[in-house]
Amino acid sequence: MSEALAGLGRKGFEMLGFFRMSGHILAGFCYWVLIAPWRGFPIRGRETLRQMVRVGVNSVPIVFLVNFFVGVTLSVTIADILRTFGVVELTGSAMGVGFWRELSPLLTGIIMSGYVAASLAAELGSMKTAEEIMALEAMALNKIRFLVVPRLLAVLIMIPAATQLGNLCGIYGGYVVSIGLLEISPTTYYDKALEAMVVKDIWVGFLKSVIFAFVVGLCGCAQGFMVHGGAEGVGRGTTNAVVYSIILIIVADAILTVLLYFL
Amino acid sequence: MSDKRGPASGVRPLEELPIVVQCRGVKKSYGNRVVLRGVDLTVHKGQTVVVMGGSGHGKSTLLRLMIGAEKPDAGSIEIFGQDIGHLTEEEMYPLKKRFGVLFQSGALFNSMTCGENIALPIREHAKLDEKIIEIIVKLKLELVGLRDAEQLIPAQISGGMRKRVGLARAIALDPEIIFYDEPGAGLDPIMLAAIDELILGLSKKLGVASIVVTHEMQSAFRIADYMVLLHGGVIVAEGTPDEMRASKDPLVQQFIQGKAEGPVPLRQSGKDLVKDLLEGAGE
Ligand SMILES: Nc1ncnc2c1ncn2[C@@H]1O[C@H](COP(=O)(O)OP(=O)(O)O)[C@@H](O)[C@H]1O
Ligand SMILES: [Mg+2]
Repeated sequence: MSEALAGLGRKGFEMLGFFRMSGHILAGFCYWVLIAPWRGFPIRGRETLRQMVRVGVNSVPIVFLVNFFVGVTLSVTIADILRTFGVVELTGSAMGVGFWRELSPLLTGIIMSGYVAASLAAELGSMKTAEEIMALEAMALNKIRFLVVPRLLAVLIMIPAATQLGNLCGIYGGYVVSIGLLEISPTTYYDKALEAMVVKDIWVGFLKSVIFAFVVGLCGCAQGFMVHGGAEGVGRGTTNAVVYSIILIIVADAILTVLLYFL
Repeated sequence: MSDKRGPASGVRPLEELPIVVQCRGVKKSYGNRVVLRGVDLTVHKGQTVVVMGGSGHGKSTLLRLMIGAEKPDAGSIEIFGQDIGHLTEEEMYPLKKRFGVLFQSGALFNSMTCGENIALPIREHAKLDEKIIEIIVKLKLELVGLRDAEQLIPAQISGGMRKRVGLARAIALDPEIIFYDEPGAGLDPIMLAAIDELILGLSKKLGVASIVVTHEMQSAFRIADYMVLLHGGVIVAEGTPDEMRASKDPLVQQFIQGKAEGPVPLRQSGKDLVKDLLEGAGE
């Protein structure tokens, strides 16, 4: 019993440390992106580009694939319900709104937790155990500027971009089954999808994807910096990054959805 | 570059030279594990101080404190006369540009070539032309005998070579103090002698102060102006190489002669082995 409590206490302490580290990283990121460039410390553009390639190259195909197949599944499921009301042609509307506003940001965020948060934590964690981060700081080079800014910027660009393209893949997945299986005409599907969507759907989806990008990037970087104790520590940090990132994305999604409902 | 230089002769009146590093009563614990219990250490300009001690006795910890990577729990550390205990990271940058560090593992950045590793601090801190940076990188690599490694990434070279590239990077900005964490580990005797020559040369010609953690006794006596023995978190013996050699302290003698038998037990547990085993079985 007391052991369980002690374990719980340790977990709580670790979580507190994680949130403190994330706050520290976020504050540093804002400084080095918004203020420092005016004081003669430019953002490292080439490194940011390199990181964008790294973030996108493996994960984006998976984002497309998953969005496409969820689009297939969802359109059939929804069409089944809509058919009982005799409005099967509204499938396109449900798909458009559903993907833009909710599904693509969420799916992309979760896939990116597995790809990007994990790889950031693993990379920064191994740098920490190999004394590389200490070496960087001993050379009077700021770890946030050199390591976090290019990575977090890359994530902040690539995740919303992948989300937008994921939308199209999901809707296209629905389109393929709609015209193939459900006998909805291609024009009806697209017309309904566009007709149902309002400007709010677009910016809500975009806002979510940006916030999820922050969650993925901060979880990866903070867990990486918090790694201690060799290879095992790197493994622990990587797992933590994925778990924290997925949980925080789902919680943030719920809070945002409820808040934005009233707007 | 400073106008003062250490005298070229072997005899160096240390007291006359300015102090560059001063530790006073430095203490450090991790959780309830006390690592340093009050360390005093003074290093003068151009002086080479060798820190000896068994593994796990806090040598690397002391080094991390001196370079400002961690803060001491108590006591003070002054670098160039400035107490670094109260400085923020940003306030330490001007000081950090004046010293170089060779880490135990070399700590090269794995995503860059060896050449880029050395160029990084130069590019960031000295606003120099790319062509000049390239020349400096080549010269520094030549100093450690690795000009061929410029285009290789750290994963492609051996541990000893990584360490030498790490040394080239540490001296990239012509620092006034260099901290070395076991520079000799993983090097062959010839390379070790070459590195010793390099350390001596930096000290004699440019007045660089060196703090060297090492286990290689031959090398320690070759380079040291002053030696300290760190044991159990305190400095138990210190003096010039001659004083250390002549020391009657059995601990010092055990250390410099590399004997398994002596005051330092091989096993570091305070508990009796038999008692420990029986206790474990009793549970
Ligand atoms: N970050 C840390 N957290 C906990 N314990 C540490 C940490 N760093 C070092 N120690 C402990 O401090 C002691 C001294 O370590 P270190 O300074 O690396 O020894 P040395 O370099 O002399 O071999 C070791 O027992 C080690 O377990
Ligand atoms: Mg050590």
